[in-house]
Amino acid sequence: MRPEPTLARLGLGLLALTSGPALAFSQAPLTLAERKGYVQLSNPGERNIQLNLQVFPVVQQQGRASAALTPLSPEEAELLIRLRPTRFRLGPGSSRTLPYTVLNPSRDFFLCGVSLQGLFTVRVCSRWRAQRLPPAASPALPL
Amino acid sequence: MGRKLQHSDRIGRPSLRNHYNQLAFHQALSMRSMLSIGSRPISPDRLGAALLIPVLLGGSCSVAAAQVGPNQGVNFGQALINNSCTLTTSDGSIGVRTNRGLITSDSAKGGSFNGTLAAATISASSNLTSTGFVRVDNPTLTGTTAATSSQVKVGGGTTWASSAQANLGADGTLGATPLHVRFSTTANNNRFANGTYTASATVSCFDGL
Repeated sequence: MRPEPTLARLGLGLLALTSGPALAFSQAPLTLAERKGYVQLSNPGERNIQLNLQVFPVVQQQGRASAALTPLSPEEAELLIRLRPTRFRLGPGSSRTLPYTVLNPSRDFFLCGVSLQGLFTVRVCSRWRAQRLPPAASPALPL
Repeated sequence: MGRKLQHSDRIGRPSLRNHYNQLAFHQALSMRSMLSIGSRPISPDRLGAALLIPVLLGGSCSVAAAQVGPNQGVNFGQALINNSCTLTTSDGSIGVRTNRGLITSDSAKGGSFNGTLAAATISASSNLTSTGFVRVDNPTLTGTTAATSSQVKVGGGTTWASSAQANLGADGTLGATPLHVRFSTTANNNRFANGTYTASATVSCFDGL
């Protein structure tokens, strides 16, 4: 006896929705407030994840600042921020804290943890806001 | 009042009995002060004195044990608070319309499909507020025939677009939210050719500050 097609489809649909543990990824802080600091990346999910730390230009979309889809090249990124390692795995429930140093504070960028999770590319992004360097002291005028 | 102040001269004697006597006296004084406030008007000066005396006499009435050693401070480790965001995803699945003109995960599109259509879900938790948001970009189809239109839909609405945003709630969370994709093509006579197709998207979390 064949199952009712609609019911069979529903069963398959539910199977697709519930199969496999959810994947997750967390990053902090979301604002890099200091030129030197730490970023923490965590995997609260149930499976290993592969993480890449990449630098993205800032774009305005729908009135909000967000990260462009294409990262800067590693060479360009290394001129903006020093961070090691930029690629590693995180086991379930684990986290890792990495020190960073912003090398070029005059340029806006996002530092994003990027993880390919199933069909998604998941990013959580930390913003560095460009800081104006103080103007060089002008020479004293002769009296 | 004068008699009460004489009594307070005994404060500081080390005997435990005196301590209990002071507490009992303090209690009686407090009650008497309350009664006098209730029975007739009291001047601000006298009210201040009435409130001050119990403090001078040794603090709370509820303490019933003598202190036998020095105070000991208790410290807690420091806490670092930073904006954070956690994204959680679960995959969906796509099917193709029997006329081969549409690949989607959204069964609400109508028509007959081959394959199992199911939404993906995304959720977010954070210590942000509603300034934070989740963005879905770049729906991509890989397979034999390239898509010429790629769209996403977040939530239960009807709006399809090349990208979508969902605000976090005031508590900084986004509950499990369905995410759909759909693709069509003008190549190959508007029909997706035989082959294996995979859909993907980029999901990002920003603090919006």
